Amino acid sequence: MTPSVFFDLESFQSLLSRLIFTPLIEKNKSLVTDVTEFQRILNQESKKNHYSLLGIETYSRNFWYKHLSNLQSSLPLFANLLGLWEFNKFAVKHFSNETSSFRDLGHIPESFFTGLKEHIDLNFKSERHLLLEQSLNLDLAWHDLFRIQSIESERLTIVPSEHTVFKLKDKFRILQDSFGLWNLRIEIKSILDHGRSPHEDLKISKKVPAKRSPTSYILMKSQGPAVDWILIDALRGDFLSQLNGNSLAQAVDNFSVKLTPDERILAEKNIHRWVRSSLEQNLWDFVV
Amino acid sequence: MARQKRLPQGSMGVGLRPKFYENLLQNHQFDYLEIISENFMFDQPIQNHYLSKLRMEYPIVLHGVSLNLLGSEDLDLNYLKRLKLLSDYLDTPFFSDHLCWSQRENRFHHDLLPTPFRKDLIQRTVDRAKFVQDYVGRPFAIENLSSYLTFRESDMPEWEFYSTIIEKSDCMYLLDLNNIYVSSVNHDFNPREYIDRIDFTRVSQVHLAGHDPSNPNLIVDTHDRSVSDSVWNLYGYALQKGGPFPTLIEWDENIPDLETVYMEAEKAKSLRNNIEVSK
Repeated sequence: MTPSVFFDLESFQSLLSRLIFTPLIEKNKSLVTDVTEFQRILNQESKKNHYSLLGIETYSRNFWYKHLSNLQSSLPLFANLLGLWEFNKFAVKHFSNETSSFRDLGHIPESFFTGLKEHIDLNFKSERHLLLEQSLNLDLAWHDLFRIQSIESERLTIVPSEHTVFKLKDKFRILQDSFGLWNLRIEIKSILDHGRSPHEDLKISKKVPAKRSPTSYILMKSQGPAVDWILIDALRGDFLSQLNGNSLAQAVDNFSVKLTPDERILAEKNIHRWVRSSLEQNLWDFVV
Repeated sequence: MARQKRLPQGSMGVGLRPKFYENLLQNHQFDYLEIISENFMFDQPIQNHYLSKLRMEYPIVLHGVSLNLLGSEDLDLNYLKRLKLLSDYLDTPFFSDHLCWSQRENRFHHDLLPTPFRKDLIQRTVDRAKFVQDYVGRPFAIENLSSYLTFRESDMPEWEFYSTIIEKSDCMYLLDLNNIYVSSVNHDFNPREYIDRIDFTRVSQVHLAGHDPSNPNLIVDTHDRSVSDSVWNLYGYALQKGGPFPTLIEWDENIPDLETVYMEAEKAKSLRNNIEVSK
């Protein structure tokens, strides 16, 4: 091992980072690492045969696997309804032009959501378009609701920022105005329960939402996972109603009072269990 | 070193995963838990609900994946602030992260990336490790990586780089034996020679996990299966050199039920007992 006279850590990490972020390419209906591009970059940087291509490939594949998995689990409803293959292809294409990646949903660049919206506007029509658009809104709204979490001694507190609450309010307005949460939820649940392909044409019923109190929904929990969506619906609907005519702080306080901590935890647990099972049913499209 | 507080030598731990939450509250088969720090530092109400209960039942140590110790950019003070908050909340005996970099120019790699092992990177890393340990105010353990690349720019072996940083910064080792094994196969070195250079008085705990050996040219650290025989052999060797030490089973993909993980811990205990008798 011969010591070098100078080592530029910054340049080294920039190059490796660039190699790892090299976009996947489509080959035989799979997304695979682009070894030719690795070689081109290394040649360009006068580092031909400097690093093991197999090693770079491993890191690049790991990155994209985790990146796409994070995106899928951050937008579980939308990703599954769009189809994971199409979702992955869109994400790879989008992030090929994006200079940043993210730690979690809170850090996903807004341009990704805008891009998804444009994608569905361009490629889908009528009811399917509506379903996709609203599932995206629902996924985002759910995250917004529980976004900012802090530990204060032993107590759990959920403190949405003003910005977050406004965004949430807007999203719920869009949902309610255009369609109504109830019908959407019934439809989505039906798709998932019956294992229908998200690519099939979807019929959306026009029923009027039933009016139930949050407590009644929570009591239904003993009936099992079938009521998960209803429970979430109640949580979201209740939160929205608290925003009407109240200050933001008051709305948050009121919302907290409506559900006991255990009820809130139960609701969160249910959605996560649902998300997990729906993701497990849809095996990853990314084959290498 | 920051406030000295350790797990009992020979204790057996498990990496906390959502699948285990309920079971760990009901059954106390393990001596301690390890959490991925980032899973509890941000916006995770469910996780934090369970954590508030589990911390009453178990010692909990923190294991981070995005400190970016070897990163070329400044340390993230907001991250450290949250890390300290969580460490204090759990009164953790120590916290840990990896000898790696993981982000660059707003890009999170979701991975633990290596650098060359170089003399001129040591002092900078020591300064950063000391700063982190002082900031959090608790012992800081640094874990060795498994890696898939070697670099021409290296001017020393990994164990020398690692040990020098631990000693100079007055931090602790978090020794991952599976990582040593994976790297030893990928980069063709003797894993026992690596272990021979470790000062076991500074070992906070040992990690054990499974790897994927399907490609003999490059085996991958997957944490998705049982510990391999080769790694158990290395564990036995480490026990002889410096055991007993706290040992933790990591499992991050294809996570089985807790009982299966416990069987792995039992195997570790059994090995430890055999070696203690023979000493």
